[in-house]
Amino acid sequence: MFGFGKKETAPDWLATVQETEQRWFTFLDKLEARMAELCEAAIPELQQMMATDDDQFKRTYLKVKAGINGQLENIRQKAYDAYDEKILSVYRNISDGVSAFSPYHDVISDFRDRCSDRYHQQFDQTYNTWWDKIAQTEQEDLEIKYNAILADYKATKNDFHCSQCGGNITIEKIYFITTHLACPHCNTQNTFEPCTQARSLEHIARSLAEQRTAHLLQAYNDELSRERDLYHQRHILHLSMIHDKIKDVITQKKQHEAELENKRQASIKSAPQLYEIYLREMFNEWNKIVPDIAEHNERFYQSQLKQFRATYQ
Amino acid sequence: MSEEKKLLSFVEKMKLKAQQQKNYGGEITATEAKMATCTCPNCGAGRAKQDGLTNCAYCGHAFVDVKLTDGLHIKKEDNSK
Amino acid sequence: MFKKFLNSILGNDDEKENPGPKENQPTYEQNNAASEDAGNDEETEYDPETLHGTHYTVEDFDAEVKSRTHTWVKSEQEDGETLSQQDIDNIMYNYRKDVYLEWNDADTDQLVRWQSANSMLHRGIATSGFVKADAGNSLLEPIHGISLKDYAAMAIKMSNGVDATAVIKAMGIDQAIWEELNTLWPQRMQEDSSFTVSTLYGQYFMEGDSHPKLDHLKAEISEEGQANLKKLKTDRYFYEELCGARQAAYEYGLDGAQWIQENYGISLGDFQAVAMEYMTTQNQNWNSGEITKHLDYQQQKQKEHAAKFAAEQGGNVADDIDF
Repeated sequence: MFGFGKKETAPDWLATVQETEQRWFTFLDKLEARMAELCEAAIPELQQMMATDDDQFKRTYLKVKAGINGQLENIRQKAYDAYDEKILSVYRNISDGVSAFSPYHDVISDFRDRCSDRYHQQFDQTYNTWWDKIAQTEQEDLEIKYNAILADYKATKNDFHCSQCGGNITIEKIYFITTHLACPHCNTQNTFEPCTQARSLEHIARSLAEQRTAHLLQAYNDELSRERDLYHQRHILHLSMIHDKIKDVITQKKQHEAELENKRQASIKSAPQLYEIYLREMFNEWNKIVPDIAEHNERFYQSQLKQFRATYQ
Repeated sequence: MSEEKKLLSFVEKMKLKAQQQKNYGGEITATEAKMATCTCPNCGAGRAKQDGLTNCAYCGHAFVDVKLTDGLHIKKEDNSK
Repeated sequence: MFKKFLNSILGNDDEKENPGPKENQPTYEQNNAASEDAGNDEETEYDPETLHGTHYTVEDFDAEVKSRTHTWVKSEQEDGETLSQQDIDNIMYNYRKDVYLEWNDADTDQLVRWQSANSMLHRGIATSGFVKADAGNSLLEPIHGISLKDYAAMAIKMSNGVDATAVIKAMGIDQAIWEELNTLWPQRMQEDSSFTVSTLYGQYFMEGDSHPKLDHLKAEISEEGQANLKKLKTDRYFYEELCGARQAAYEYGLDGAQWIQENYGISLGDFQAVAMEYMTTQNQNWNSGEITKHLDYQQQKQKEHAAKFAAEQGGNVADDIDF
């Protein structure tokens, strides 16, 4: 009735499918090679621009970075369009006419799976890796910038004089905005305008605090990965028990499963604690860098903590 | 031209284009720190700390038209009486 | 119950998935599926403020949502599930949606409009076009006598190219006060977990740089710029094209805002004010068909401008690679 026992001859589409798969792999190989060549040429240039761009906001560097990312995106779009037009369309056209009971049914779905894996698992990964490497060219050690601000402050803090009486006015701390300072000699209100470098303290403070506590955030992310890993290990073990018949093997596996689950639950409990440690430390560092905004930062911290706790409590 | 040279030249051209185009908002020049006083444009008197920031203690001229609140360094007490 | 059974088959029995009847966030496909049987919503009358149907009370509605949520949460907890506050909030969010669709015979656009109008009440988050400046909100108190609206007007004027010192003087403050405002208003936005301050700021941006104390300060704008700005405000497709073109410019290594200024004479501040206006009226009159049309047009124009930029730079790096 379903044609069982009747030998099916190789369909005409088999050669098309094989050729399409080959062309798809070659196409992605070429696109990946081009991404690599572009980024290998661009990265040293971007690093140099980041280091030498005098502009306070590094706008020339940012424009070129956006342009390189634009080209990566262009390559990604090419792969996306080709996958839709050349792979999925072939799959749909052919699979519509293939019975689920045909010995060639697996051939067409395996074709789709291999093309999809090559695209989503390999190509997308490659794209993301290059995107991240381009992003990394923007990274700078903010301690260097911060130390420069501190050094400039120390070197100049005694250089200022009251415009009224000429008496010396020591700048007691790093001001990052225009501030009224009273002369300690004649009490006249002077207006102190910080230099551009000192003003940048406000804008680099949080990033510097995050840089200093990155290892704590990493500990939290590592714990999240550990939980996922334990979940998958348990899942695979659980599935493997479906066909087990030997009692001892099942008991052993169930015991192992329970151990994995205990570890996973411990991980679930520990992860939020790690994040809260990070959050508190990051704000502590932030407050050290700009103590003037510590009061506001405490309110901000409480608000962030409350939002985070709502996700797991 | 080899692919490598072509791409290097591509990046160079992009860099040149970025350098040549003005940035929105114009160039930003770095400024030095400075200290200055604000004397009353009406009577020439200086502002003393105890007299507040908003009005001249001698002639009443308004340096600013607003009522100060507790900000970062500026406080309510800085309102002239 | 069925979902847990299904999860068990799929091996997801350990997952603390959102156990609500639908997924966490509604997608348009889900909403469409949910309201497949929804007929026309022309017959339903809606309260202009709450966008609830007028054939029931909000109290009854809330009671129904609360009851369904309580039943589900209780059953999950009896089964040994641990639910966080966020899990419970998500369950309630999904039941609210279900009840609204059931009680109003509404389509998905009406659902979105209702969700936007009630986003503060339901989720504690502001949506542009629906935010009211509540007199009791301490985060909206003026700073040094300058309100959020004043601050927005000053920011737009400055971003349109008017000299900052002139703007500061016209508002009756000094440089030190201005710089405190520029630190403290963003701090208020940071502290505000409901996003009211930042959303209101955006709404004020819509009003452009109009302010009684600042109207006499005119930004320099060419005749062509004036004409293009007028067109931007009245021709949605022109606006979408410029959005697409600006995006394409960035993707080809240019400062998009500068490119718009040079080619159309429109400043960034003016452009953003118009963008806020379109976004806000879009929220207030949510229509997914119109939104898709505009987005498609923008993307088409972005592609066209990208092709021009590509031609100027000798093509894209992978032009020679074909399938």
